Amino acid sequence: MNRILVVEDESQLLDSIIDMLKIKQYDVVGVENGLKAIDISSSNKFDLIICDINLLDISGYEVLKSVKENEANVNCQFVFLSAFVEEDDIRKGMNLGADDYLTKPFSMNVLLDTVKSRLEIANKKKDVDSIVFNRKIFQFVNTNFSHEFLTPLNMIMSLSKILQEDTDLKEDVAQSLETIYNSGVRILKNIKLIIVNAIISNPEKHNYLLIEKICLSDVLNNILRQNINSTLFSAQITEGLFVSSNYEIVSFIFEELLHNGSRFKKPDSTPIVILKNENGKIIFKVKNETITETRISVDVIAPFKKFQSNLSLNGWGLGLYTVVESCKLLGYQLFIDSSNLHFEVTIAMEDKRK
Amino acid sequence: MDIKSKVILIVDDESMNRFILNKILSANDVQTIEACNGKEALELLSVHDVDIILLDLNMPVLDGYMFLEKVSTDPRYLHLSILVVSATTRGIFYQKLQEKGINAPQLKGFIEKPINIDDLKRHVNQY
Repeated sequence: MNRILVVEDESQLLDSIIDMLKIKQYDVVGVENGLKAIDISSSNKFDLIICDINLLDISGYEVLKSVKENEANVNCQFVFLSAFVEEDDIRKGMNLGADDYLTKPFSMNVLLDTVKSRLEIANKKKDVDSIVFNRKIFQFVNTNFSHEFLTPLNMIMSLSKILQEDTDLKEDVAQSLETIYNSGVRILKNIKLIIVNAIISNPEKHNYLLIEKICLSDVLNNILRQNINSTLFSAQITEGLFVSSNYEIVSFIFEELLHNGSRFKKPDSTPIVILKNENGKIIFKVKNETITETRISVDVIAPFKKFQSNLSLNGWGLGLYTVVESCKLLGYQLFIDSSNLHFEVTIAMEDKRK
Repeated sequence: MDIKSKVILIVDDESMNRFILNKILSANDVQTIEACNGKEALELLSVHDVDIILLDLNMPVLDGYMFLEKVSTDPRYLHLSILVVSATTRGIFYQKLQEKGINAPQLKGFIEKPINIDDLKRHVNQY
């Protein structure tokens, strides 16, 4: 059963909300101030919290912040109650991570509709919750994190490359250097995955995303040249396609999908990558034939969920999830077509505006 | 394009990073000089005729941002081409530049660490 916490200092309103939700068979707890709400939500798990913004002791924002800090309530839905339609209040609440708001006075039907739809979302997210997706770790990932990893990685990758340039190397030494370099590439890929997740899982950072004009064909060609064996793909790339977007995230999306396309392809098959303009939108598409049948649709993708478990492949199961979340963040449409032994991902991109 | 006879100033507090950049560029027969921080770099600039600067950001004494700020307004150094080489992400770098109000016309690009060797050579060849 879903658990709901109601925080409201007007006792009559609090009682009537509780009664109404109990009639509908929800498991409801009510408190009349913010500190009690923080206390109870720190040691209990809720699927939904309905909270007044203007409480007597502390503001509803403080309650929201505290709830979001508690790992157990990471998927908890948060609905604000506000006496006035104050644009600023609502925006502030939404920026802090609130999911919805209700303006007082509201009818019980409106309340029940909101509760129902919010709980549907919370329940969907529970699948994710069970895998313990630790957002907090990602929030620690900042410039220092990347610096501390990337600087030593720079040594490993650059020095192994430089040493490889010596033509008099014994074959086993050359092979070892190649292995050291490729291991660096693999660590780098995972670090980038963590960095992109740190950005997308932290809504406060979204306003700081650098949006600039990017030449998509340049980004794609660079990745094909530097990271992925470009002869592996059949590439149909329209040159000179520009989009206003975030460079790091777009290059991550391209790289990840190209890696997927090359990693899970049927041996001897040639995956295809397409970049083109279609009806005013830029289309990026990767398609390949797979070894085993995988039925993947966008709504079943979750962090740490591996779709090719029978192949016991390495990896975190974060790649596709991160691509989906990145597309949401940038407002791109993402389509996955996986029928029979065919796997195709299409992304429709438009200018992202601040 | 030939980059012979060009003088490249490498500014990085980690000696291994300077060593790596030196190694990568040595195949191109360019002349390199090294500085451990922005202050040393400014001192070298006053006595050497430098064409290109490879600039790290996080350094003691005078960091990369402060260095950029100082040279951006100095008419003696307007001919320079500066490439930032850093483990910071590109987005954060440009965002910080904006926050600090630094607008250095000499800034020609951002090369992320780990360095892609071909990428670095291509950049250096342009200037």
